[in-house]
Amino acid sequence: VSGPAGKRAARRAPRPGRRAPRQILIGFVIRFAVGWIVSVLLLTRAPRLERLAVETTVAQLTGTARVLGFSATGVGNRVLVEGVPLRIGPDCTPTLPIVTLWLAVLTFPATWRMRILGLALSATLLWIYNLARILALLPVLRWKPGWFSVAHSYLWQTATLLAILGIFILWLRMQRPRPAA
Amino acid sequence: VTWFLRCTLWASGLAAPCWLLSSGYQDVVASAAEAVLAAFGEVVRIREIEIMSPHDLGMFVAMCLSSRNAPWRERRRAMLVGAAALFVIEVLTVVLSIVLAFGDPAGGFGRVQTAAGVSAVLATIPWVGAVLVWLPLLGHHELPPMVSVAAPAK
Repeated sequence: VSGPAGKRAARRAPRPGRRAPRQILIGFVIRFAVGWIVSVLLLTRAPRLERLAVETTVAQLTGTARVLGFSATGVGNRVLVEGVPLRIGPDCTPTLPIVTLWLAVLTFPATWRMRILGLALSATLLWIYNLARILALLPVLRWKPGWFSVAHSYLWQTATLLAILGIFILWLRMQRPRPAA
Repeated sequence: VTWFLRCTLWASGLAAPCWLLSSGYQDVVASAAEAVLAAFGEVVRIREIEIMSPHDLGMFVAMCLSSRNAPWRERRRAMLVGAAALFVIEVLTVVLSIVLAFGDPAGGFGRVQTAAGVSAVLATIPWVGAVLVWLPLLGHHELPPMVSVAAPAK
């Protein structure tokens, strides 16, 4: 095809060696969705993992609070910081947000070096974020317990998803094109 | 980065109305899930569900409103199509979690023994839905430079 129609078609066609962005995104969405289904089915079979995540969160929360100068004790799935009691359930751990971000990193087109970096970065940052989130709820529980529901809802739902998105975008921006072969 | 900052502002602004609407909205999702199960001959009465919706809808709308590189008409269409898709995902996720929790242990995937197992299934709603629906609808308008960089070059 030649002339203006040919030029338009050439502009629309993906450049050699590079897929069109939308194709990349749709491929990513499909791989991610399949990976999510597999991950969820595996998680439903691993109650030991949830217990481990709860115990680790309780231990790290207690340790962090002590480092910050607060009195803190942790027994089982319960934490007491400055007299404020907290119960850490499986949903209070960063397991699912980390699984979400790991899947995103593993299913997005990238080099393995970048993927390994993404896995380490996302787990570390989300674990720190989750500890900060729980600690941020303590003053609400102590001084404005009536606001706990809305604060918990915002910090767990909206802010956590924003944290996942932000870390993923940060990782995307760290990508560099591979040298041409 | 500016897209992410706009999204943060929109999502934070929409969080309060989502929280206020959550109880009524979740009742609607529960009723729809009951209807789906009834269509397959399973009479189930859901007293209450906790699925962290409509925060997923709020996040999705925030992502669409922040996508300024897309024409307004396309954003509006994406919001309508995406909101419907998210509602379907919510209902199907609730149905699946009920089937896994109370289904026949001998059939299909078997019965999930732990409450956390059901939580993992329900986590599809908050952690996955909004982003996966937004990406194919509007993601290419906001992410092309990053996506192009991420694509392996030959």
